[in-house]
Amino acid sequence: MKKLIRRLLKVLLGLVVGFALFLLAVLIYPRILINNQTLRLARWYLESRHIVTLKWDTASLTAVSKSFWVKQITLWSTNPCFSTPKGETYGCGKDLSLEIVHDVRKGIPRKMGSLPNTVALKLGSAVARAGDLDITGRADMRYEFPTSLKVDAGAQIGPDHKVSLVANSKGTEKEGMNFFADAQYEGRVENAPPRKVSAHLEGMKGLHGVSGEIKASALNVASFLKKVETYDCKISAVSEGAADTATLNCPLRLGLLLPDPAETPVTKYIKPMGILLWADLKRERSKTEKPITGKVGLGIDSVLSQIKEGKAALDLDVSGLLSQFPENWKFDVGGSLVIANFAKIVKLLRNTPAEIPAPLNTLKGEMALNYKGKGTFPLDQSQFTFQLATKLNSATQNLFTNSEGQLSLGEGKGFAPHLKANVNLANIRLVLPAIEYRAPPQFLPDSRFGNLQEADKKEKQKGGKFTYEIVIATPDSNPVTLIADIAKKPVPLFINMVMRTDQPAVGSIKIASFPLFLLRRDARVEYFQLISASVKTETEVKGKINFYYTDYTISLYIDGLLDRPRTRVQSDPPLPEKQALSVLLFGRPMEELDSDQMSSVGNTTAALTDGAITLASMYALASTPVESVGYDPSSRIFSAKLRLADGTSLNLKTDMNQVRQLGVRKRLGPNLGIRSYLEDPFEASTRSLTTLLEWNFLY
Amino acid sequence: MAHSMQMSRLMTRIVAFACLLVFFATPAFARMDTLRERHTDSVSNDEVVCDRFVIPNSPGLDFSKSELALMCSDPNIEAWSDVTDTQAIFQLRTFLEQRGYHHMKSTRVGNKVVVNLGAPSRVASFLIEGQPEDFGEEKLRRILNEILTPKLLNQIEERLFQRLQSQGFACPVQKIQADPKTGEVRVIMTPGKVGRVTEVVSEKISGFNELALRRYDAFQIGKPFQGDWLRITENRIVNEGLLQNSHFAPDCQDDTVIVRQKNVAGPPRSFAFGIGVNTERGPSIRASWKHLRLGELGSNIEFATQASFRLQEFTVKPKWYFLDYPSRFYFSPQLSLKREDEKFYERYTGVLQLTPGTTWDGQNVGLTFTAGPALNFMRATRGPGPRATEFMSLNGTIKVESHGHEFYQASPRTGFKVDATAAVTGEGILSNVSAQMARLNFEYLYNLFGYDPSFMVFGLRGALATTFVDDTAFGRLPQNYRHFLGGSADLRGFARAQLPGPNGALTAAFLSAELRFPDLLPWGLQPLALADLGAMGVRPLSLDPGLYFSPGIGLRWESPIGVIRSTLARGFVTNTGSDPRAGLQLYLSYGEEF
Repeated sequence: MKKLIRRLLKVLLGLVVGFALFLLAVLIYPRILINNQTLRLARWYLESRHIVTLKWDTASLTAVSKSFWVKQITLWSTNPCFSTPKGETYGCGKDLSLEIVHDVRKGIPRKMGSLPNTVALKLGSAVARAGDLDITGRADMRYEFPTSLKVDAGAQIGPDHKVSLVANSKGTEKEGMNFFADAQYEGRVENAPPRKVSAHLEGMKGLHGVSGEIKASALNVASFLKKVETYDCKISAVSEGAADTATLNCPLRLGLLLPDPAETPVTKYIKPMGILLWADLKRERSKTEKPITGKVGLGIDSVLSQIKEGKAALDLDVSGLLSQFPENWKFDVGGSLVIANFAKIVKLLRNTPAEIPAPLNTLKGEMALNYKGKGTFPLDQSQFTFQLATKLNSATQNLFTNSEGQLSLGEGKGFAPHLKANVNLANIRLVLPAIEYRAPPQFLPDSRFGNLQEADKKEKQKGGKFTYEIVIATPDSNPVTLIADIAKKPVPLFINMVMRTDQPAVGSIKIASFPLFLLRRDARVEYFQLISASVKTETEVKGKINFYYTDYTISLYIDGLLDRPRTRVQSDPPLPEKQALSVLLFGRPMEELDSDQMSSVGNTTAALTDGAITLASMYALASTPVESVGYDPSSRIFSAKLRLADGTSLNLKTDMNQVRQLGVRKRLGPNLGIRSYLEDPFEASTRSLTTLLEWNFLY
Repeated sequence: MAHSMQMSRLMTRIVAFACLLVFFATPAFARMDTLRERHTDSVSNDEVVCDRFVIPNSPGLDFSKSELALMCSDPNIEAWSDVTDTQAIFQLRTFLEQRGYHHMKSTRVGNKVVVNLGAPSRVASFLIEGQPEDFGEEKLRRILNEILTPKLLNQIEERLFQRLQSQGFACPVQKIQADPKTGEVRVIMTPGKVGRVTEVVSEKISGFNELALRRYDAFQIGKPFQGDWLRITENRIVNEGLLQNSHFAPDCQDDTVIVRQKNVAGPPRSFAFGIGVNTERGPSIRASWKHLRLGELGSNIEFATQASFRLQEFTVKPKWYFLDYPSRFYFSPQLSLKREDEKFYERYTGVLQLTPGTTWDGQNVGLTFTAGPALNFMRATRGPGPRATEFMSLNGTIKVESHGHEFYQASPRTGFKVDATAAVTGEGILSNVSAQMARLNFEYLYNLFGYDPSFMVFGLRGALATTFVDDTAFGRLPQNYRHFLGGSADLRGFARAQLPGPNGALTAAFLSAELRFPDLLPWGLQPLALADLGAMGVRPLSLDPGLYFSPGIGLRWESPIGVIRSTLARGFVTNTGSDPRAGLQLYLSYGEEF
């Protein structure tokens, strides 16, 4: 037994010694293991396993000893090609050379510290195809540990993209290592202007840190960003004592592209604006990872240089672990934006989608926004508060508001921004345009038009991501006043509305008493209110307008739902409703109306009962002399012919169906009309048509 | 001689008709000319709006003053002195949407914005959800391929609302949406339940029992609601002059409907005086006085007189609801005195009728029945025939008309109407001749394929009339007991009352067919094809072998002032020895329907 063990040990020792001798031989003569045969073996292995197919015209793999430990491996080939088994990816180069000088004591390089002493790669005029993408390029790289790195590479990727990189570093950490890199990209995406990116990084790395400067510019990197450049961006990271600090001071110039409202789909280029991005971060060194803390800021004072007045700032206190960036990073934010001259903002935003419209664009004054907040990345646990004040006015208008609110980006259950705000309309006075209120235009697009598929999707995803709850209110003592040419004095308006996402606005808009001129006489709106008590109820309207006559006062009451208002008329002393309506429409009691006018009173009554008259039509009726009113309850077509000041008529709606078969009466004026009728319509021998200019008087 | 007289009448008719047409149509054609001029200008020149927008090849957008106020800066109002491009373009988009242009594109050229309107959006598909069974949306025309405007959506809503009400859904709710990109129009309907009319609540009218209004009802309490029949009722009340205005409004409570009736009575007396022209008699004047509401039950009486060079007439027409309570029974005696001075005769005529009558309405059909004696006196001072004629007759009429026919009387497309008339006179009973006359007229209209609006309307009408009288008494037979054919009311290829000749016939029958295309041509012009077939007999209830046939074509125009019809037909005659001067006949008529 002992013999057997002894023999085995001897064999094992022999094997170990043999293997050691082999390694020694390889170490002295590496070509024993690394040679052209190795290359062919590698090709056979890769092809037999269907990994990749390799071809070349000539190739050689050599390994020589520079010293006992340092070996040089050189691969050289002419017209090398590779392709995947199915041929979807392949590539060829004109010539390839790879030279690696490595100290074998470092083992197989797996990290920066174990890099080979020298790696040199040269690839000339290579062509490759991956899927539908053709790539041509070249590369020349040489790395000599630890003092030198040189990279010079370029590639054309497909027909539209071109990249190049030149990088160089020299020196050691101990002595100070200088480095620089230049990168270029040019490309084009379909239907977009050509993109260009160039960046230059230059700096020094020493034993206690690294510092550098970046110059970069990018053109057309995004649909809204025409140009980004940083011209003196300084970064540094220093290890001193028990802490590491990092600073960033990076001025940016942004050239924004905004859609020009007059150019569809062309965009408008806004002059570059300057932004200063800065950071001052610190981390304690420790065996366990300590959080980074510090400040990050965004200064946009230079934006405001265009408008000369005002200031803006965004300051963030941040903290978090670098290994988790940006997850779980916390921040505190605060800042302000003061616009001291609103007129200049109006000018700046001219012809952009954010253009300030009339009548607000004639206002002058200042606006101030203050905000602060705190949160954690991801942002769904962040909250911000803000205060916005406007002090704007002009010769005829005021816009003094105070608003405050809170924006929360979620409650830890995903990104779901919610805005809650109170807007106090402290002192508002606005001028309305000179429109014809009896024939008002369509102010907003018809809500019945839209993308039905999108509407279906929205219906299914009810709620949306962004939600809001905004309370808009006027002080009890200071209503919003509107200046309109229908009213003799400004129209006072009390607003108390709550607007929520995907819900109808709730609250009230109340017009207080004001005088106006209606029906060719003095009148007064006593009150007019739009009230929406809850989201489940439709908006109700309540109104009372008094008309003053010599002997009596007629009150027009409007109530019911906004889109189907009901109207009733009362008078003091009391008159029957139709008498009062007759006075309102024609300025005379029923007894003095002709038959057509009486019919008009009836039609108006019926249309009002059916709610077929909109508030605008009602105003038209009340503000203009009426010639006739027609109403077809079947189709709910309400029609009115109004006499305008210039002697012409305005048809609110025409209706041909008033014509009857056997007789037609066409009104020409009070009690006067043309009447046509057939006599003996069913008797061929005696049938005749009579047309008369007829004066008809009812009494 | 007769031919000359007919020519004279025809000329009078044409001149009167032409005057009428010119009078009424001038404003309409002036408007058309204006539109045409505007269109021409805008095609040759770009439309410039607010000195801001340039709209090449504009079809003439005709922005209103209010629209311009929102798009153009107003130097007179400081606050609106600088309307920005953004808001002006926003408003322009909104206003173009009103006109069907949903795909506007704009380009800035210098200080102007050039607006490319693009093609107007048209309806490519029409979908209704929630509609009741057999709603018949596939029959709705004038929706697909129409320009997609808010006005079109309103019209669709109105049409659907009316259609639902006509199918018994008194208070339907609907929501309409449209996608200008795809051209899809979608309506979501909530028609509710088919309602039954349980009660009519009528507004009080001073001095009038409003229950009397129920005699005009074209609907029945307890039966399903039908919105169109409410409109018929309103028209009946107003057309009779009882009230100046009346409207119904349904008040729905689950499946019951309370109909509330609002009324405008107006003063009860009317005096009218008119001066004008008659197509047969030339210049005319007319004066009338009418009491529209006599008593609580709404009886009425009218005194009227009219005069022309050829005719002077005085009539009294009372309509007396004689029962003590609201009822459809009435008594309508009439007195008519007239003098006619025509080229070939001069005569004085007096007629006194004592006609009781009643009406009845079912859910879909209305009926009118009148019967009573009439006393006729005639004295001729010039012309052929006996110098003095008097006769007493007993007249009866039954008229049955479907509500559909009555509802669409302004634009006929469906329904039927049957008139049966009988008159009996006996020698010795204030008459110098014994005769019995019966006449049956019918008319039937069918909306082919049921489209809405109608695409083809097929009409059939006819009459069978005969008079029983002894051969020896034929010469004494009054004119209205004799039968004639020819004219726009029956055989349109022949002159008016041309057939069989001046003496008329004792039997007449005709059948007319017409195929009309109400929605084929623009401007409300409706072409039609027609064919009339008639026969007459000199014996009672017997037709002679001769046939009268007249195929032709025509045009109907629903003008703003009433219906104008024109037909061109050729008369053919077979198997008759007479020469009725068959040939081409052109008719122009006003207010007349098939």
